[in-house]
Amino acid sequence: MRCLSRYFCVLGLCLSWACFIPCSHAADATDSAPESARFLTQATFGPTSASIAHLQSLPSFNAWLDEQFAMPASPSQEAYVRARCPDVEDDGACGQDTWVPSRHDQWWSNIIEGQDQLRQRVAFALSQIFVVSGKAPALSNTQFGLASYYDMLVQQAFGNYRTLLEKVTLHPVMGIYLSMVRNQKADPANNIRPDENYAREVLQLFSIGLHELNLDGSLKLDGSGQPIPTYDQNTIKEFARVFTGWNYAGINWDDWYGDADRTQPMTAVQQYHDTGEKHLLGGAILPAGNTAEQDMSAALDNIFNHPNVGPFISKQLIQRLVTSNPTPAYVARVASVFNNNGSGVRGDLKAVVRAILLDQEARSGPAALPNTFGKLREPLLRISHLYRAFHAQKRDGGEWNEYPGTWVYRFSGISTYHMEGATGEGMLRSPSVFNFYLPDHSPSGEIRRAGLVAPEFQIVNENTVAAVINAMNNSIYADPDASWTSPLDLSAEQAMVDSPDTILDHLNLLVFNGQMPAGLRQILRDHLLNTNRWWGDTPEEERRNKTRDLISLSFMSPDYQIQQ
Amino acid sequence: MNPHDKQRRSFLKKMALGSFGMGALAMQGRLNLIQAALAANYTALPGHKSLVCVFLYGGNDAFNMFVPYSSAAYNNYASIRKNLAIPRASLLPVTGNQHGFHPSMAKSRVRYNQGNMALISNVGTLYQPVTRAQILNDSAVLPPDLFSHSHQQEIWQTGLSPSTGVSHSGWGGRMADLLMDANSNTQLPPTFTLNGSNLWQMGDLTEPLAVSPWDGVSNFDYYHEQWSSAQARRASWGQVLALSRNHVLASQLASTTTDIRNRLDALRGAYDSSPTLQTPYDTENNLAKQLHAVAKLISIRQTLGMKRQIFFVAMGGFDTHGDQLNTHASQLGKLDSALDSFYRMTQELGVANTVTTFTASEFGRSLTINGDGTDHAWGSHALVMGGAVAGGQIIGQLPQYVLGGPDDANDDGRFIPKIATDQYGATLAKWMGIDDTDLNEIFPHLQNFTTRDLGFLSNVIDSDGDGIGDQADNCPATPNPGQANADGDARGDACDPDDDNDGMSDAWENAHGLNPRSAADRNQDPDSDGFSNYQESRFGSDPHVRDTDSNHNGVPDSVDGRRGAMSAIIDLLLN
Repeated sequence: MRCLSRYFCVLGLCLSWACFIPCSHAADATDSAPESARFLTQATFGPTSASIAHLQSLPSFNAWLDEQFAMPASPSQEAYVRARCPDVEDDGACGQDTWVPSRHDQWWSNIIEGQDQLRQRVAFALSQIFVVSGKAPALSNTQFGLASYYDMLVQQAFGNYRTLLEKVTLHPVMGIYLSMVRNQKADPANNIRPDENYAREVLQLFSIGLHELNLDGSLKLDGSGQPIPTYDQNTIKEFARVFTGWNYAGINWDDWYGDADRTQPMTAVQQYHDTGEKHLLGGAILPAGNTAEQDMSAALDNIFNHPNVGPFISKQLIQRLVTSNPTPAYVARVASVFNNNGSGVRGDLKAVVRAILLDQEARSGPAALPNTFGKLREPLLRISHLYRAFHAQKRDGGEWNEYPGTWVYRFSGISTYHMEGATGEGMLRSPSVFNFYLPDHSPSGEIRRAGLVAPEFQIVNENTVAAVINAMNNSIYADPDASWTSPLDLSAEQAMVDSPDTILDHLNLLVFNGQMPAGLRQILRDHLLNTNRWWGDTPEEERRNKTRDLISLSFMSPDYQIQQ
Repeated sequence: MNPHDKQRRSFLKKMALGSFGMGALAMQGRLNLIQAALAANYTALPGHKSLVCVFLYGGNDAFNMFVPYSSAAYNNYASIRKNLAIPRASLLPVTGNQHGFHPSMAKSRVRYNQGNMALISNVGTLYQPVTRAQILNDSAVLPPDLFSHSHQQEIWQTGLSPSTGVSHSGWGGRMADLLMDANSNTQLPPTFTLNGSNLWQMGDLTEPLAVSPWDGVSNFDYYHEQWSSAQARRASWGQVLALSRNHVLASQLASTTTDIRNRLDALRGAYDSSPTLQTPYDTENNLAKQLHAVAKLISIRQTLGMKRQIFFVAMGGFDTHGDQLNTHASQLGKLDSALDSFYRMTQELGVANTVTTFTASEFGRSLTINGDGTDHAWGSHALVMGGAVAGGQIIGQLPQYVLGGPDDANDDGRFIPKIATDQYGATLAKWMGIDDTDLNEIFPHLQNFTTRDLGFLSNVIDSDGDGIGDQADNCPATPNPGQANADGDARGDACDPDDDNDGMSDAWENAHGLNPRSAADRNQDPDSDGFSNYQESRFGSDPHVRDTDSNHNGVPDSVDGRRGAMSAIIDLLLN
């Protein structure tokens, strides 16, 4: 039984002792298959019959979260790449291929088959905030490093934000991407100043953003109604001085970078570190004479404790998991948990993730905000859902110039390491440090007129719409023994398709979280009963083609693509 | 009623109902734009114009792209740029020898010297003119977030004050919202992108259509083939898209998907059947490939019913914080090659005068260095290329390369722009046909600057439509894109009766198997009759048939006594 009204509940959580009417809250909703599927849509790479059944066997969503927090992580991308590239060339390239798809193969394996779905989903969200990209020329051959960076996000996904920030800052791949590695203190005689790249982006994108925020994510305004910058050019210069003197681990400062290990945290070389006094955020002053490590630690603390971090990070995580337009109250509730997880700890990412997924807005958004709640599913999440729910088949890697003896997922003509060229997004393949889409993108039309944002619409264009639909349809319609893509195993659905209501109910749950609109259902029904076209030479073929059409039309519908 | 008028009026109605969630200032701008649009009439714009934006992502270090060349100025530059200075010996000096291009830009140097490329100097984001003194005493009104990539890209591409929260339209898109009236095609926007979504081309009424430089125009597998199953799927899909929806995102996704399907169908037919371009280009050069696709789209403009087209291409790799010398040389080389092959394609298509290509980059870079690279700065140089460009010159002035000097925003060589992006954009927009009043709406800050037209573009009159403007055409009334001119005189071969100026008309030379393009045959005597070809042409005799001159009067016997013989002799004596 549900709470009859939110107003009977306090602190955004329906607690039975605080309710006038005995109520179930989000944590008990495992009795509802559609609600369970919807929860899994937000917390995994797509619900499957098995995963829905498993969630429903638990007493609460909360219990599922506990299970996920305790689950070991899926295999490391770095280990997979190393096993396949024993010879590392001078510039860090894999000995066998310079554009190794391996780390992508392991990623797809993990997100489709891995049991640690929530951890993988959160890591993917973090990879869109703490962005590094293999598209940068300096990183295009750095397969070990990029794999290691993503592994780090996976490891830190349920840790503390402060630790995550440090690991990101000291990772050599980030050092290369935002030019912090071997950044050295000023040399006035030679007109050399410390590089400002990392200083700027760590503030603008990884922590506090450009303008002061209220707890609910809204902009603070000054006396004339203008937003208030969080920092200025001088602050950047001061932070740039903090981020000096860090080198690749294991080699000397002047050694050629080609020999560098791109997986080990950077290490400090004091003679290149600026040891002057530094003025950071909020009037904080780092004294002169600090070591590089001391300045680093103090500066990261300075950033971490800025009040912006809670709302800035929380809102983006909500956007990646649940909805593009969270109400300010939702943001405030989650940001409060970031600020204090209930036990006095700031930056507890587990608590933040729990708060995001169990919040009343996540759990009853469609009812409370029927016309605006939700988001456009990212291309990779639609593909992963299709592949998970309908048992996409791996193929022998050796056939197409990948690694013999390994089995990989295929996506018709799209190479795994160039997903973003076709679909608009790819794992650690963003066009810049600003990710595939901006958090405040608002496409022209009804969305902009309604004052809403829809970041994922930024990559909707003629090319991406066709590419994603084509990739999915090529899998759906591939022969079961095709090797150029990953065909699906539709045997379960084919067994149901002779009964329209059975198959439609099944797809309603598995694909639409129980939210398939009546109009769509009718179209699918009519389509199934269309006798004006050839369905197949045998009854088996007919069943297969009917199943394919239903799945194809479902995944192409706007009602599926907008997750609510 | 023109479908655009209908769209615009319903747009106004929606505005009146207050369904915009924008700030008041943004709304005001849009209201003015729409009202102005109802006033000006873009349906009657003459001729064809295409505008091509080449965006260089990362912040191009233009101070190493175009470098002072005269000794003192070069030495000053080198003393600041230290190990990042381009060696003087490898610079490619341009007309006047005061400046030179980076060694990777040989083709651009040619284009510049030819007069079809100009340099826009010290251009950058400004809301109003700014002086160093104002900056130092904190009274300058500056665009915000001056050294932030995303925000400066936004200001360059939108011409608006960036606001956090909801995003804006770009000036290319706002141009397209007006110029679409010039196109009879109501299904396609004037804007095409070969590099994915970008702020510049986002309009309020239009959004750019993406085409892949490699795969052309997209289609939907299993949903377009002729067999019954594909057609049945297509029909059902159409029904699904047409369902009425209350959810704002789902509703917009449905209409967006429908629009996409329709636009692709229209465009695909024309693109696939366009004739192959003969001009070669480097197929491995990503930018050159994008521009090749632009040329194809220009080539089908009449089929598509488009008189005004706006294109976006881009390349990255310009954020040279480190390893600048190598990276920048490589990127400039690709830019140079791509611009060159594209210009030649416009010549092949006869549209060199009506296609203008301009570069843009979110900012320049500091004149001071950080070791092996440079950091984000402000004012920079841009290139503009096309037959209509008043080329071979610098528009504006180079900043003084004095650290902490009058042009420096601080003390590390981040120069204050003297030309605003709005002025640069307005010059291009005006050339495309945008009305002067509408320029204020498209560029809200333009009125803060005195010069609205930087004067580097003109409308080139091209009477014979061969792509060479009358002023420069050696046969202005006869189409001759190749401008062949064997004798180098004022008339091209196409309209020169005597291409090789050897005194024998082309017609006569052709009729008698001689070479109308070489004067070497003037004094030859193929029939060895003592009369040169030239003489025979004056006498009207046959240079391949021996003539006799029995009376030794220097005139062939066959001509003697014929009227005109005397004048021929006089001609001969005079020549």
